[in-house]
Amino acid sequence: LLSSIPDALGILLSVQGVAVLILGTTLGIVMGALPGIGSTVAVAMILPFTLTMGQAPAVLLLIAVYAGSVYGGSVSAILINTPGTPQSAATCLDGYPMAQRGEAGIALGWSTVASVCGGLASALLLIFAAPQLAAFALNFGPIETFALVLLGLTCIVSVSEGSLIKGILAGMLGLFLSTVGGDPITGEARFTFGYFPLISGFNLLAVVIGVFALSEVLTRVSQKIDTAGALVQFSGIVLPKLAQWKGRMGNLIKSVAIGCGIGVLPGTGAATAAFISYAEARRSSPNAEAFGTGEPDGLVASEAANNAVTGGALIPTMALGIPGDAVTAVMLATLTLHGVSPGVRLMTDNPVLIAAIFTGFLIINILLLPLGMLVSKVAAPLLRMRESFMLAAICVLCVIGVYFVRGNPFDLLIMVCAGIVGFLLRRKGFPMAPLVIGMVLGPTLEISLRQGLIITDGSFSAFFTGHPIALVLVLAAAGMLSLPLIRFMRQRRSN
Amino acid sequence: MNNAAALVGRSSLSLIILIVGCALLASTMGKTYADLGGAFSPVFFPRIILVGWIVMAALSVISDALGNKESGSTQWGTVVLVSVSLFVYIQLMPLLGFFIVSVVFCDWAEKAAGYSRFLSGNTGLTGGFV
Repeated sequence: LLSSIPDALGILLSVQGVAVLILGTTLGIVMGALPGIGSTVAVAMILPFTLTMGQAPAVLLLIAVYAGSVYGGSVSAILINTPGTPQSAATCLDGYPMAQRGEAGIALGWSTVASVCGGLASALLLIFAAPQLAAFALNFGPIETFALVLLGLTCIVSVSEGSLIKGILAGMLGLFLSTVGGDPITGEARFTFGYFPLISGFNLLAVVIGVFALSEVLTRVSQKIDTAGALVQFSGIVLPKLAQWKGRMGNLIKSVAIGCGIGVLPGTGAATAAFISYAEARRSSPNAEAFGTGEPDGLVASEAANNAVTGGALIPTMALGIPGDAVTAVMLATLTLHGVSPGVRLMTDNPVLIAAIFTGFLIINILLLPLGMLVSKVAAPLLRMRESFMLAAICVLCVIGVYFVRGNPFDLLIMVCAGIVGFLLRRKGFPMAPLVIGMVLGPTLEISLRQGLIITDGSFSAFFTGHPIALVLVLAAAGMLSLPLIRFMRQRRSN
Repeated sequence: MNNAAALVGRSSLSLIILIVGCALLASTMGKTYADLGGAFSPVFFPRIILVGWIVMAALSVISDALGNKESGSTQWGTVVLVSVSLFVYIQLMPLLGFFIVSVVFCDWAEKAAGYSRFLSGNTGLTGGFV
């Protein structure tokens, strides 16, 4: 990886590289600040515009939007008490009371510095931990890969908010969608029912945009919620002075550690990290009673943790090809669309790409400080935009994104259908991330399973007798699946 | 009778998914696909997935029927109007060009959404940022 850094820097310091880093972070902050867009929708909307770029700038643009949007969510959380992204929900607790006191600039200053620290620490963790994990996974054959993907799919369990059954069912729908079209071994068309446009399968891009962005639009127009915002004064970010950090460094370090740790676990997410970190800061703080009334420690805890998750979540994604949440699933989809196979060989086969992504991620987190100060001032007036206009604009952007990639009207039809089906599924409590994870991991799972069975003459039990790593991974997957059941039994016993 | 209707209503989507899963599995049983046997068969993997789909959909139907969680109120008229507008938009765009159709769609979709609440939730915020 180290030997590829000069080439990676060449990509990053090119005009396109610099533009991608600055533009992506800026767009991420603005989109994160707009309530209703969120990190997943932001990344899904930007995805089609990356298809004309090279592999590294494309992934970097998405990572910049991701990191920027996680930070951007704090802008609306602090200024209008409406988190731009779910990750920033904990930021409202102390950020908005500070803004009401006329300290919006100071609150955004605390959140900016905490976000930058959290993001930088997670970038360093990504750079040092991911190669170790990838090196371990290099010896994996088809059987181990099958077991690994199976374990990856069990992260569906953890992203299945609400219903485990519906989460697994959504994953099954995604896995099935990945089988439509040509069979990877025989080439025979499957489930096309004589309809020619389906021969190349469902366009991943159209499905991702449909189920995330369009279904979000339909969900928003289906509910009439009155958000309660109040007048606040904001004239720009005021960074906290060094002396003000006295007594808060321990909280910052602890929050960063919580965010990084939770980020590595597939499916746990930045929102969980922010709330756990907030609860821990409150528990250990001498000013515990001030939490919720505008205590900077609360802001530092939630913002440092949610930004620290970004790098942590990229570790299993880049090292093993296992997306932990919806955003990293979209990133893997991007790699697939760019002809890069996500999986255990990703880092070995694409050292320059990976070095560029890692170094770029570090730079993006440094850029958050100046761009955060500049862009939040510009983004704040955007909060005056009418929501119905924003939703219509999202629809138009989705259409541009999907249509202008291949110029195929059938992709638009898939996108709108995916949006409507996604809306209906979400309304009934089906999570959408497992569907995309299933669609992304489906081809690898199918090929590794069928190759493994061909190697073992059709004996599935031979998968585990001579392959201890596969056995451990499958046991871990079984453990992950049984966790919610154990939790349910415990809860029932305690009740 | 009302209870039965409510039960079906609650689990209607899972029921549809179950029926679609069964139909897709049945479609793999005919002579449509080459019978290469075992892992070589093009429908070997989809069949495993479809069996899983059917099992989970059946469990979902049961859990929906047993649960008494009703979905929140939905503005169905608005959703249908916006969805139809989207279909018309994507049909007209290749014929009439992007610009005109998109402008008309934006204007229409805003009206179809039926509200003009501000992201800030308070129009007074306009003067709030100094």
